[in-house]
Amino acid sequence: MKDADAIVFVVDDDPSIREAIKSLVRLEGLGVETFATAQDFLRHKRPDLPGCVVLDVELPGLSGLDLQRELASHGVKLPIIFITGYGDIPMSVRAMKAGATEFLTKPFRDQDLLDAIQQALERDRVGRQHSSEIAGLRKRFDGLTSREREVMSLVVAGWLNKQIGFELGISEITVKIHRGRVMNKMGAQSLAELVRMTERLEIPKATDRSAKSR
Amino acid sequence: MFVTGTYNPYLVALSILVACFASYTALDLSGHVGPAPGFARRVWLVAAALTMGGGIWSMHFVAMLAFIMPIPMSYDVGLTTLSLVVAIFVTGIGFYVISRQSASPLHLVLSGIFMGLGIAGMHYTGMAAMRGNVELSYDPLFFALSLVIAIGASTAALWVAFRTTDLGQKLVAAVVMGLAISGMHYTGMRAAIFYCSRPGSNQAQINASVEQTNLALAVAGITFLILAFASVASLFERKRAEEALRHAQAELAHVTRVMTLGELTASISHEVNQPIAAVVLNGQVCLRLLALETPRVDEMRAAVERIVKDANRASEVIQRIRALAKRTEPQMTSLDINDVIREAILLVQREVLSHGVSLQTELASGLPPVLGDRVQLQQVVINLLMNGVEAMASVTDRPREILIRSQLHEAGQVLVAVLDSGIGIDSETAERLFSAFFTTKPSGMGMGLSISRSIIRAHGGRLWVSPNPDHGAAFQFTVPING
Repeated sequence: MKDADAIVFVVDDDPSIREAIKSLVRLEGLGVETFATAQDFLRHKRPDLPGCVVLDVELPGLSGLDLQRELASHGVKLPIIFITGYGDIPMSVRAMKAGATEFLTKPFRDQDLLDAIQQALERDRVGRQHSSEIAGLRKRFDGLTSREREVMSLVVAGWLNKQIGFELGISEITVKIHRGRVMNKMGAQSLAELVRMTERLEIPKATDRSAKSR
Repeated sequence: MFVTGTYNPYLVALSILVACFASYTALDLSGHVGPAPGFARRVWLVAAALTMGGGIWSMHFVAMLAFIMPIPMSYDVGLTTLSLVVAIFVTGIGFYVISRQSASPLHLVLSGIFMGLGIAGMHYTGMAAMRGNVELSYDPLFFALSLVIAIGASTAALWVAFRTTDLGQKLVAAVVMGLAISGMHYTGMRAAIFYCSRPGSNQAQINASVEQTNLALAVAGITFLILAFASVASLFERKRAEEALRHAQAELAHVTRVMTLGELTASISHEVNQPIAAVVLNGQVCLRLLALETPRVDEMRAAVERIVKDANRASEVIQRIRALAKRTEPQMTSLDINDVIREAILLVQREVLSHGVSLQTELASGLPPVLGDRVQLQQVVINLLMNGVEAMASVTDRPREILIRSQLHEAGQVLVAVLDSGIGIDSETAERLFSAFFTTKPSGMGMGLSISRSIIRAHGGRLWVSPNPDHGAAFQFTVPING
């Protein structure tokens, strides 16, 4: 078996279903870890790999839906595929609203589960990539001086260098130097890219300040 | 001259015995009147009246034969017969009054009056039948006293007899009734004043007394024989009624069992669906493993073994349901109570789980086998578990927990306890819980606990409830050990 680049966590109190899913997932060349209870899963140290959870709704103790809430409250964004023997509509609506990727009623087709797993893993990969990019941007942004941040917020708000200089009480040349450093440190090729970066970082633009000063 | 007689003490004792035995048989027979339908009701009433009237009459006859007078006596056949008819008819009315379905204290008193009048009526008619060389008159005080004794003691006897099924109390009632009859008789005799104009010879009296004794024995013998027949008939009827009751109870137990299964449908179907889903999934795994270029035999074997296990599990659940749904007469066999508990849990664990309740077991190992009906005992356990779950539906401030425990109890009994952490039961409702149609649940029928108690009683055990020290209630029952 090739080295797994993704891992599937299976949480089900029924050992037979647990083992069957484990076999199935391994046949797909994916890594798999199984747990009989939600508590066991929460205690487990998860490897830093793309992953998803195949989660039984009716678990003794902490239920599947409880676990979903618990993970969300800890900021864990693992996609969840629910499997259930009851499968009533209100329950599935609740699960889906809370961000589950799929809701399968037992017995289900193996291919449906595998499709759902692939979809969930893809979602997690994208999500992880997204958050690692954000993390990179954040790191670069943190490297800026406070003056550079001030300049950056005014630049992306569409101010001219002259206006910025006047606003901050510095010369236009100095503004240009700061601006060049910002572009350089953030790794932005154009003003448009810099604007997109601030949007992704959710940094407030300086529109309020400009309105006030005029 | 006034004549005073003497009593043969043996025959007096015999007369009292006749009275008591007749009373017992008549009261026993009259017990069938109330519950019997239509025609059978009348048959039992007539039988009771015949026994009572005949008993009073033969008591009187034996007592008269025990009474030795120095003058020859004979009896008028017409009046003697009439005295018998009076006794049968009037006591019959008495039994009719008290055997009505809605017997009140008024009915009791009325019945006592008729019974007393029947006894007294027979006696004084019988006395009027006396033919001989004597004039008969009565002391009014003793006459009144005899009536009071007859009515008072009859009422007391009926009161005891018609509020119990206990044999001891029935015997007490019979003795009281016997004393009502004989007490009335001998008081009546004390009231009688015989006046003779021509005394006869002593020799005639002695001869007469020998004949009288034989006659008395014959009358008593025939009476006992008839009473014995009546008692046997009554006994058979009682056995038949008990059998019918047992059958009806089994029927009711079955109906409530099926109703319980109905309530559990969702959980039980899940309990079957779960292993089937596992079978399907493992089957699919097998197919995929078969499609590999190099089949992984070990992995396949493991999957097939899981399939077999799951299929057996599903089948076992279905067998349990079928056993509970089947209508069978109770079969008392030697059982491991822990098996009974485990099988019951198999059917309700999903129900318990879906209510957010955690179920724990503390089953003592090495318990001796109990004697019982597997299905009915399972029914009781399921009922208690489901009650526990429902008692905790509104509990949110503490864990919802049920503990089921088995242990050896005192004096050859095994104890099963079901403890919940629910809302508990106040002492007022505690006993009413077990009566039919009483329920604290909005959707309950109020049959579960009443059936459970009758099942446990039929097993010779006891079912009771007590509050837990902290929260909730503890339902406990005992079942006798086999052998």
